[in-house]
Amino acid sequence: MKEFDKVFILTGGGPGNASEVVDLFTYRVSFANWDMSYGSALGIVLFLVSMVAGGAFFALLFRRQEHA
Amino acid sequence: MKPRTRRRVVMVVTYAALIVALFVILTPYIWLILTSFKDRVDAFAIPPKILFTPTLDNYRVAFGQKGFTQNLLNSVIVATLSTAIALLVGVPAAYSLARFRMRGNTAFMMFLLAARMLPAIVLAVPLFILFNTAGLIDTYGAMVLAYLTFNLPFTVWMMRGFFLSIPSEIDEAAVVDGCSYFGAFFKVVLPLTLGGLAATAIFCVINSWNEFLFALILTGRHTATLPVAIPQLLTPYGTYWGQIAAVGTVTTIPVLIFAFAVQRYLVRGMTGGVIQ
Repeated sequence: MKEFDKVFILTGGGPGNASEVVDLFTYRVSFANWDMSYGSALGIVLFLVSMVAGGAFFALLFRRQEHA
Repeated sequence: MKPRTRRRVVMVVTYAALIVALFVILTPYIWLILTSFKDRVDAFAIPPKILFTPTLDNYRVAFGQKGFTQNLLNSVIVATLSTAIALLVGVPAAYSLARFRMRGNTAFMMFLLAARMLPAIVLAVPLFILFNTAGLIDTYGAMVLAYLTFNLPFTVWMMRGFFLSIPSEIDEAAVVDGCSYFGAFFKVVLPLTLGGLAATAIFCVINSWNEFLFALILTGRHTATLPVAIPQLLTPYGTYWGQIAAVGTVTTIPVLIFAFAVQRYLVRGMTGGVIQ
């Protein structure tokens, strides 16, 4: 999910949008189409998804610590 | 098989696997360095030339005529400033988080780590809007602030681990012997974590050095760092692969040196604080 640099340089999301990862999509919406509000909304969704993933990670981490 | 021969076979297989893996990983990098010393004909010769007359033209054009020296300087300035500020703010913060029990300690650490886990683009959009409103686009200040978003949490987490690995009896002893809290921190604890401090600083520099997305969005002609300057060589008149390779080689050299210097601290720093 944190993949941007390599896709941006190698394919720019193309051909078409076949290799467009979500970071790149947000970047294009915000800085190519200059639709900042749409970009921000995408950012918030990404943020929520990361929080859920991160929360699961912390839960696992702490459970393992209690066992140890 | 005898245990001795078996062990030897395992050794041989392990080393063979390692060599293959190293070869796979290093080939692109070696190719980059080789290409940077080739002229345009040699770079695209088929079959690829291993032996060729090396030339320094690519370096001369890229850094002499095309202004990549300025980009190199930009990279150095931004990485240094942002590392310095991250250490200045992050090290005392890490120390207090490691030593004093406060409400919301854990929550604060988690919050810092969460900031580190976000995809960079989530921060890039609001940062761009903020800096644009403040008129900070294409300034070093904007870059330094943006890089602090990942350097500061990193510094706090790393240094907290190093501080936790030093028993708090040491600072207590210093206080008993007449040091103030600040004296104990600066004169006793900080010198003990000097190795960790250096490692943290170097990691901050490497992270800032390699950063691409923030640099892409927040810089313009005057402050572009090396990673975002390289694509300038993909021009409508053709791609200057030799010069790209030359700039790429120069970009990776400091990282290589630093990485070798701190590799043994990485694991210790990341785990030191967690397993308490």
